[in-house]
Amino acid sequence: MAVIQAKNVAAPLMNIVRFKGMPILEQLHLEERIFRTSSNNWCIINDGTNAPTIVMGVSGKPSELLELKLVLQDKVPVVRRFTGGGTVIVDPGTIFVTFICNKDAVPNVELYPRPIMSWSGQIYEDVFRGIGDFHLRDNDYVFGNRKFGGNAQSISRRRWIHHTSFLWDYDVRNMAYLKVPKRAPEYRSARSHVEFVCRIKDYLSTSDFINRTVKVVRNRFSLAPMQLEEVNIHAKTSFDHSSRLLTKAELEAAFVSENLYREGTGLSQGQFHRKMKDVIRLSNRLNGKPEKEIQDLRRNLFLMLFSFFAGSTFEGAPKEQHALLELEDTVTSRRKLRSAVVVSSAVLPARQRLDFLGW
Amino acid sequence: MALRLWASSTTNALGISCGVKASLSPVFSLSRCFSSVLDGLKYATSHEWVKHEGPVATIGITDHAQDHLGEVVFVELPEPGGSVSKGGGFGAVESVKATSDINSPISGEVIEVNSKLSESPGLINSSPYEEGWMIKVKPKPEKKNPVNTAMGFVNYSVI
Repeated sequence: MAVIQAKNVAAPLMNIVRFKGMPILEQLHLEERIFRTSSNNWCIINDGTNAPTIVMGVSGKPSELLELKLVLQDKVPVVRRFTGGGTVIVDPGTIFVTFICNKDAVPNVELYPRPIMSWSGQIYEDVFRGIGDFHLRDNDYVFGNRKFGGNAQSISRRRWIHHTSFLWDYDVRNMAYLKVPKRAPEYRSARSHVEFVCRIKDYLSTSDFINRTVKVVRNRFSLAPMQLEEVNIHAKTSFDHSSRLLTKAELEAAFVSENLYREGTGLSQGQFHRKMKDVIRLSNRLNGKPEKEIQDLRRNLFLMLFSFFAGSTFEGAPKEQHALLELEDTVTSRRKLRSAVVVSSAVLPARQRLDFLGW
Repeated sequence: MALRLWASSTTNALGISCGVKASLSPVFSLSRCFSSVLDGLKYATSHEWVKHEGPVATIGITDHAQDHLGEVVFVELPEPGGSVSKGGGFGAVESVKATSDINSPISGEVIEVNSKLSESPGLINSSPYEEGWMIKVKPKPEKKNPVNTAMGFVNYSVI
């Protein structure tokens, strides 16, 4: 007993917070706030999120990753998170485990993606020891060659966050909202979502999985359980989050652009994208979205082809729509809007055009 | 044997990539193991470089950094006209599931941004010191010469 206590005294301190059914956007906001403004180490576990939600990485493009017609039809929320990585659809069957660490807490782990990923792989090797054929494979957690856990990270000068969404269970129908990504690991071998993933529930109950994880983490850190209310003691209460919900206007614009490209508009790519960006700006304004001034460098966006958000992960991350809501001359705006309507009229019936434009 | 042990522990301690596990008996063969480090540039401990050419300073990330990040798939950079602070973040790169902050070695005003990186973020991997440059900055005059507070070429090899 004295030896174990001595070991834990030497182990770095880690706050552990556990939730059940926290909405994923709220979880991402909490994580980013802790990552950017706390100086402690954290483990956050969320047993299921409240509703099916699509979560894309920081540079994800809706038109490339999502079956937009279905997403819009079924009104599935789409969140863009502040970390890198791919697209998932999460629901009450998803278990989230997040580690936020100072580099000093794990001094043998360099602040780069692969060392952090390798460290996490060792954690879960211990968690799943004797349970299944667990591997860290091409940055995924797999049993055999089937993925059950997807990872994403954000790395700053002195800290890193590594978070995982685990498929304890999933609804097969939800996979229909996701396209097979162009950029996929080799071991996926062009398999569909259903053929590529598997469920932890075939191996462990939720409580067993979470308890095993906590036990492994306790072997490496001195854990201090914490309630949500106490988090504000250790992290700033107000923070400019970069993870956000994509608007209906953005998703519709992505859908229209995807179809218009297919139809062929005769416009150059640059011309077309400029028109679509103007349509998004005006649509948001017509929908009463608040317009915000660009205050400083950190609130600027790196505008890419339909990356409506290009969120920053550095401190004071900007609100994405700032660049899309730049004030424009009314006459110029309306002229451009008319041009955009002409462009969109090639494929959209009048009623849909007006709906899309928020009129 | 002792030299090989010293060399491997040195590369580990320095955080410098060593792509080749060569026999290290001759001292001069150590140079084959290190990422490229160019003369004439100043370096920060967070693996960014700065090159001063008259009134303009160009900033990017080092060969060591791009090698350890993996394939860069997305770059976020500021707009011209904004400001950067020494040691503060000015953007991020995405690679292998991760976004990684990029920090500025100096303070100043952003006067140009490498627009090629939006379509070709891989330039950071293929040409980290040339075509993969990220921003050009007009350095802010400080009481202490900002150039001297970033590390010199020789010092980068021993961080």
